Amino acid sequence: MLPYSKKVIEHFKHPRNVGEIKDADAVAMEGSPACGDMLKISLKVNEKTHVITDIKFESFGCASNIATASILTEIVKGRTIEEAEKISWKQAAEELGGLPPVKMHCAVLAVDALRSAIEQWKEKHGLVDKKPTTPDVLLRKLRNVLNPLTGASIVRMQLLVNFDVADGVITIDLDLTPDHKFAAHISGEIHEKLDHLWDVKEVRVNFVGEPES
Amino acid sequence: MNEIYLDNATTTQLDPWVLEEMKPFLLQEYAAPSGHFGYQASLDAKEKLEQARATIARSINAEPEEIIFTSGGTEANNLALLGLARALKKPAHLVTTAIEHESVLNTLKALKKEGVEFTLVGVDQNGLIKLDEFKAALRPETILCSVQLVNQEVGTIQPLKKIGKLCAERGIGFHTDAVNGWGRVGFDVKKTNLSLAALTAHKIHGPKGIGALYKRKDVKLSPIMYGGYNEFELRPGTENLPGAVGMARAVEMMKPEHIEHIDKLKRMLWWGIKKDIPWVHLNGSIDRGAPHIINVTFDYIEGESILLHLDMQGIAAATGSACFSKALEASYVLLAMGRPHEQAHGSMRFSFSRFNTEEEIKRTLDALKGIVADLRKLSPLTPDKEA
Ligand SMILES: Cc1ncc(COP(=O)(O)O)c(C=O)c1O
Repeated sequence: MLPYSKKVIEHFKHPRNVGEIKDADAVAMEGSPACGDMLKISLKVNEKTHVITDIKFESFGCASNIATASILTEIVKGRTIEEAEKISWKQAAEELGGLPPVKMHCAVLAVDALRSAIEQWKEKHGLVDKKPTTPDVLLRKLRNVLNPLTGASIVRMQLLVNFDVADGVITIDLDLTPDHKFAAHISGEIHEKLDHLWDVKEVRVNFVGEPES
Repeated sequence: MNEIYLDNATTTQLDPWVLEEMKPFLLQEYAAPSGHFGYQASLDAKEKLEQARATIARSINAEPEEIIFTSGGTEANNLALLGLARALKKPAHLVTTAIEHESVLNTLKALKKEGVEFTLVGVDQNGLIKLDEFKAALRPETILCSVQLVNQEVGTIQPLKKIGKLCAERGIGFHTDAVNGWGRVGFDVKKTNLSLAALTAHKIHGPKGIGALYKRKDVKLSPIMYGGYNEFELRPGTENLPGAVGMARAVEMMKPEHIEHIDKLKRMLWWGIKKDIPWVHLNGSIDRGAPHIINVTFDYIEGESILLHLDMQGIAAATGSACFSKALEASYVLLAMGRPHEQAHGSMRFSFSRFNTEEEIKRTLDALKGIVADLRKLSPLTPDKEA
């Protein structure tokens, strides 16, 4: 057997809360099949109590992916969104009896997907104060954009050489050549993370890497 | 051990007859082979070693003195590439394909630090080397081309004769990593114009830890390890006689009917998958690939999950998914064949041996049907959950 805890295997074999809620109050998708990890979470939330009355997930991903999503849905069902959004990926991993280090990103993905869904619900219900998109916010959003070649974050890999936020226009310079195999993919991911932000009018992604001579 | 073992491109079960052949050289006749002057037991050992060498030479139409025993395929590839580049002591260039085994690719990367350049030639969607790209990669200073016989992940058989001819015409050396083909896909070092070829025993029911490098008589190599004067002064260390005897017995035991058998199992699994499971692709070619390997992508789901579910049902197979690799990278072989990442993640390799049975293939098919359907129910990508 692979280096997984009993609990990971248990949830992988018998995942809880699988599927899609048809009349969901919020639905969020994180990751991409190109990276090998993808998660969709749908929520039903009680408007008065903010309690998550139902949650379901779908996953294209490995055992850890399925297991972290499964346990997370179990943990948050019946809790309020305020409680749910505080759960960290470390907690999720601990609940599973730990994950191998290379699989930790699965827990990050699961928690991110849940938080996105909750944020969406809050936005719909006018519960988020519209925070301006500052460079900090930008970096946080981009942290989860991965280079499919390496599976590592573009921020962490220092591919992000320059960025600028001005008058609703975000400019991002990446140290990759325009003909990079995954230029389109990475740019798509960045748009996915930023385009919908309330104060963003335009996102410009530039590939400024020097071709290797 | 798993009840149903379909990972024979990684390694195989030692044949009990091979073990029987090896036993005396582990227990009673344990003397080390020696040169011309020695006590009787060491002379006997030497004779046995030379018999094994001759058997292995015969299997590829080489001369006995062209076979150098090594610890396996990895060492044979290292000795071929490092040994040749270092013997030349001048700026050199090598050509290989993008889908070689790590024991070739990483050896070439290491050689780069010694000033030796190399070019990776691409492959088409079936994993076949692009010959025009190959020809264009050859330079005046190219000393060697290294092209595998059979690909370890998808089973593509490369057109070695054509490549050998191109190399011979230009006076360029030609090495093949024949590790995953030897004994299952025939090749002849003379007809193929080979200078070097790497072999291993453990993929054909021989023991682990023994392999060989074929080196044509006129090819000059530097040793890559230093010590005593064994193996034509190219590979020091007390000879692994039990291993050599086992390796020779193993190749002798590979019979055409075994090849027919594994080829039949391969087709049975693929046609079964194609018939009963929607959204699948074969990576490679069923008719022109090696008899023991198929590689299949199951769309919308991920390979590690399939592998684990199979494992829980006692079936061992392999996957090209990034989630299974130490580097979290999807199979470079499938990516080089132009498969998108998601298809590489959803790929499974099944590889067969003469010890597998039709009954096992049926059970694997049944297991796969259930597993793939269950995982697809879980996947946000599955287009039609009722299908
Ligand atoms: C194509 C190929 N080359 C080289 C090797 C390495 O051989 P060995 O395990 O004998 O070192 C393998 C198998 O692992 C292989 O499949």
